[in-house]
Amino acid sequence: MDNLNILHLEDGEYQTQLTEKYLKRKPYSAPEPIVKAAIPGTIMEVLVKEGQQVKRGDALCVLDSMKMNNTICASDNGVVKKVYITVGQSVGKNAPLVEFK
Amino acid sequence: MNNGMQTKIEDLDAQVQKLYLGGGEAALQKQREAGKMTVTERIDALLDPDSFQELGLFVKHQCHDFGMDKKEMAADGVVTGIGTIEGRPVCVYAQDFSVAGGSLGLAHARKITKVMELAMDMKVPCIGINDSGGARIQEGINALAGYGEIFFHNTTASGVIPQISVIMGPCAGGAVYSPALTDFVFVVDKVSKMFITGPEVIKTVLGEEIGMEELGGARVHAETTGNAHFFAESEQECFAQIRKLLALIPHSNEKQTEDRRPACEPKAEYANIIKFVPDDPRQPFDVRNIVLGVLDDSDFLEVHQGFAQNAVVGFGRLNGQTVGVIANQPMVLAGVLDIDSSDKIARFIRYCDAFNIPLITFEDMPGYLPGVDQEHAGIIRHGAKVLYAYCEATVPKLTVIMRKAYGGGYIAMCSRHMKADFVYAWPTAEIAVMGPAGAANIIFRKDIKEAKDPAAMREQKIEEYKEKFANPYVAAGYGYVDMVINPNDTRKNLIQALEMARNKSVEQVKKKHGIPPF
Repeated sequence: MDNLNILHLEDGEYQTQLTEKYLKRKPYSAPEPIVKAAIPGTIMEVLVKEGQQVKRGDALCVLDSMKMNNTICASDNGVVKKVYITVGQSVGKNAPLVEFK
Repeated sequence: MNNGMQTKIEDLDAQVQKLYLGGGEAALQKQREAGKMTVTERIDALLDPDSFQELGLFVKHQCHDFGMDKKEMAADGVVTGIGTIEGRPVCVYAQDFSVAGGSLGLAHARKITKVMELAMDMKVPCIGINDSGGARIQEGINALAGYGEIFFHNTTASGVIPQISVIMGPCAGGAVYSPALTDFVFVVDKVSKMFITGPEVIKTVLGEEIGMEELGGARVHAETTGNAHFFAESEQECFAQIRKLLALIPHSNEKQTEDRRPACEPKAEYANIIKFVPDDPRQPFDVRNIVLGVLDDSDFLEVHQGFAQNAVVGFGRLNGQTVGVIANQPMVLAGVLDIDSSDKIARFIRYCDAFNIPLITFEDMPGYLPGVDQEHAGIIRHGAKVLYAYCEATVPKLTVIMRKAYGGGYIAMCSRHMKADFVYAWPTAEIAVMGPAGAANIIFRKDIKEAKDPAAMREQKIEEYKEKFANPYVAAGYGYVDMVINPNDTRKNLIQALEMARNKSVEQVKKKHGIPPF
């Protein structure tokens, strides 16, 4: 049998083939405290300043994308460390918008 | 014959000949140059010779906007009709890319739903060949109405008649959801393209660059997404696969597999299945050899062959009767259950149950695949589909535990507790609440911790646990396993069980429908 690899399971090691999908898995890492653009678009409004205290659900900015003015909100309480964006700026997918401390 | 009749027949012939040309010789030539068969060639390759009867050849679209009233579209871009496959009737529709890119307008869609209704009324399979650029934009909302009506008919027919989708060209946007609602999707290498939003839109909106083949080619759907159940190198091979499938499955949910064939022994090279199983339970083997050693003529039609290969599912015959086989594949990912293999198994069970096909499960399953990605992508709700599907299935359920059956995997793979009718185990089976290493670590934690040499103590306890529990006799002692059998007697036992389960009937609790963990 070809391309046998070792797979670690709860009960020890197994010799087996690994699928391409399995090999392409990305290892998990804890999320950074940065709000990113899930979709590309244009920044219509910036609603927070650096050093500002925000609560979960507070609006951070407005992103025009997919025929919609999307309000981007804080997913947790925190203090704004850095604002990466200005009004009118085009942002790509995964571009950082606001970083928290 | 009088002259008036003769003239009219000549006129009919002329009209038919013109319509048969579809989008015209140039467009047909283009189709061939793209490496694709024409719509008539496809229908001829799919059906028995001379069995096709076309319906709705003269249908015209009713659109008057954007100069459409001056445009003639032969058969409105889709050929519909009836025919036979190995003598049994089927309904067929095939989109004609040579006519306005096979685009779908209301008349086109209504031809499709009409032939689907016919298939439902007559209880025969419906096969759709998709080759279409998408909605006919000039027809506006009516094109969307057309798609919506097709989806409704697909859903109504689901579980009543087999529905087969063949992707032989582009199938993009809303069009993808009709195949997705049907039972089996066939794709052809380099010909099939399926996606919701194409490479251009993705580039414009997201800035991600990807080619059509990498985004939604045949291989992607057969191996990565699981949208396709059968992959072929050529259109001819694809039609042969469809004919083979339709010879195996019942043609409606009301018929048992009516075409029971004479029983036929497995091929000699597979008869001695013991030789395929390694002595060391941690050594992999190809479970398909076991399946081939059990089924008639060692003939097995694998479904979802390229997708989630850690499970193997497919159809074959046992003693002449069609059965659905589900097996863990120790050769790939040690045969673990993960999200994709759970989806693959659960869907296959539901297909078999809907069409009264008995289920045979071969188990060698060390557990679930550990990982943050699996947990976060929802292995809990995906894994639950396997439990739901097995519990809900009322067809005869036969289980063979070959080697490992640990923990949740033991329960899930059609155990007695899922109301399996017959559970057999080989002497090599290991049926326990969890694997020896894990179990010893928990049960003997204190002994191991307090030992002078914890590692040696751990090994000793693992060995003790193995000896005591990693066998089929504890489960057989509780009656959870009906019989421990010689692996080479597997076929004989399964045939006897299947014959006695022939008239199985189960009282079902009255309900509208359950709520499976979709």
